[in-house]
Parts: sequence; C-alpha cells; structure tokens
Amino acid sequence: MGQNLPGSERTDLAVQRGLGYLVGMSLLWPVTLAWLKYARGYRIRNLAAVRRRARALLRKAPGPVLICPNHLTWIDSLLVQWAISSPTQLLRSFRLFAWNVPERTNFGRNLWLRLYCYLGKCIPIVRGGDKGEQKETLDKLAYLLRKRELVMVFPEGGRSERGRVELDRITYGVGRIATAVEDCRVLCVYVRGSRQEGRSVLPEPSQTFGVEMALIEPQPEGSGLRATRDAAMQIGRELSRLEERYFACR
Amino acid sequence: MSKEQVMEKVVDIIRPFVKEKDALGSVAPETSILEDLKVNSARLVDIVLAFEDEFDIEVEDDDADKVKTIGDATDLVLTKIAA
Repeated sequence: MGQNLPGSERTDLAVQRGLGYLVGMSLLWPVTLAWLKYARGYRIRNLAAVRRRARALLRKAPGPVLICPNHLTWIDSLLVQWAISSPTQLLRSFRLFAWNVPERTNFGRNLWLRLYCYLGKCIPIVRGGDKGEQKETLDKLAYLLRKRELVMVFPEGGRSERGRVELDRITYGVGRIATAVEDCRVLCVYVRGSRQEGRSVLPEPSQTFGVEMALIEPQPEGSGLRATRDAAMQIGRELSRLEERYFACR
Repeated sequence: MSKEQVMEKVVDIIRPFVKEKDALGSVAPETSILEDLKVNSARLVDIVLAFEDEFDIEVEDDDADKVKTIGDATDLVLTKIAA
C-alpha cells in the first residue's frame, strides 16, 4: 500500500506540505491557537506534561506513527495537535503536524474552509464513498507514514453518537494502514472537555481538556481482512481503556 | 449448494447489519447492500469475514471491494466455493 504512489501525487503532497509550512505555520496555526485559547477559552490540563509525554512516546516509536484519537467534535484534530506539539516544535519539525482525513462533505463546502484544510495538511475523503478514491487516500497516507510524517485518523470514522468510544463503530481503515505499513506504531489519544457530555460541533466555551495517551503496536491475529479488523479493534480497545482512565482521573 | 441456498445464507449473514429492515422483504440479486439495505459501509468487512467463516472460504481485499449487491456477494461465494 502506497509504495507505488505516482510521482505526480508525491509532488502534490510535497507542494501541499511546503505551502502548509510557509502559510500554515506562519499564519493559520497561530490564528487557530489564538481562537482556541482566547475566543473559545479552552485550556489543556497539564499541557507541558502532555507535550513531554507525547514527545517521549514519539521518540520511543522505531518507525511510522499513526495517531488515533477519540472523536466527539469537529475540532478534535485541532485539539490533539495543540496538545501534542508546541508551535516551536512544529516550526523546527513540521512532520509533527499530522496529516488528517476529514470528511469532505463537512469541510469541502466553502472555498476558505477548503483552503484552510489544504494548508492544514488535510486529505479530504468521502466516508463510505467510492472505493477507488478511498484506496488512493489510504495509499497516500501509507506513503506519508513511510516518510515519517505523522498521520491522524479517527478509528470511529465519525463522531461518537453516544458520547463514548463505540467499539461497534470502529472502521477498519486504521487497521488496514497499521498492518500495511512496516513497524507502524499507533499513538492512541483520548481528549475530552470537562463538560463534554455527548458529541457536538464545537465543545462548549471555557472548558479544560484532559488528555490521555498510549503508544501501541497492534499485533493482529490472522491475515488479510481478519488481521485488518483485529488491528483496528486493538486500537479501539486501547481508546476505550484511555477513556476509562480519563474518567477515573477526572 | 445451489445458488438460491447460497443467496439465502448470504441474506441471513447480512440481516443483523441491515438498517432498512423493510427492504429485506423484497431482496433480490440486484439489491444494493449499501443503498437499499442501508448497511454501514464500515461493516462490510464484518460481513465478508462472516462469509469466510460460514462457507469456509478466503476472500481477498480486492474481491471484497467489488461486492455491491446481494447478487455480487452470492456470485463471490459460489466462485470461492468452486475454487
């Protein structure tokens, strides 16, 4: 998967990354952080410690790292990115700003959102859409992972309907990626606002977010689709475990 | 096993994942698993693995991706059984 990505696609991704660094890091990301912190009043509990832990876990990984967070709001990828890397770290090592795969129908509606997503290293996808297109997207993600870029994919596909990690909604794309890319580790990240009950578009203002993380190496049994499913379920179960830890510590 | 018997078993396997239960009343080879039966696309892997277990066959990813209708699923199973 992804080993034979056409040269034109590789170039497109390199251009997107370059523009993301130039425009995203200098303008969009600082503005986004300001919006999160000052306009929305969000805080991340023990942010420095969370970042130290993320750095330690990422250093421990011998190869590619797939980030798999829980999913409650439309801005979860922003919250995770804010939590795991400081702006200075991102300027020094832009690979730490994870590529992600938002649902095209949510974010492709207007030009500015599309531009924001493009500069934010997003590769939009239509959930349940054309299989060929989905395969192309997975190929790109595998290629990026092999280049040691971070990639963020939500194992539940969409936002949790019941407000908790839903193992019966785990999609297997994460399992497919984790089993196809050699030495791939998965950084499971659980992030939740102090007053987040169920799913929402945005978290309510003025919340403090708790973050739990774990680095795992899925060890699937079987082969083919069975291994894909097993790997995805291992990731889902780890997220469930982190969720229990989050609530135990709250 | 006849084609009709295989199709019946295929429908039974898919049944728990069907959200549009009324559509099961008029299921036919051309019935779309995703659009007519409203099966969540994320559950297709579970369905294919259930085919493997029920019919003692192995289904490759590429073959699984081609299954769109009840007829496709039935033909896939028959092909794998015969192989």
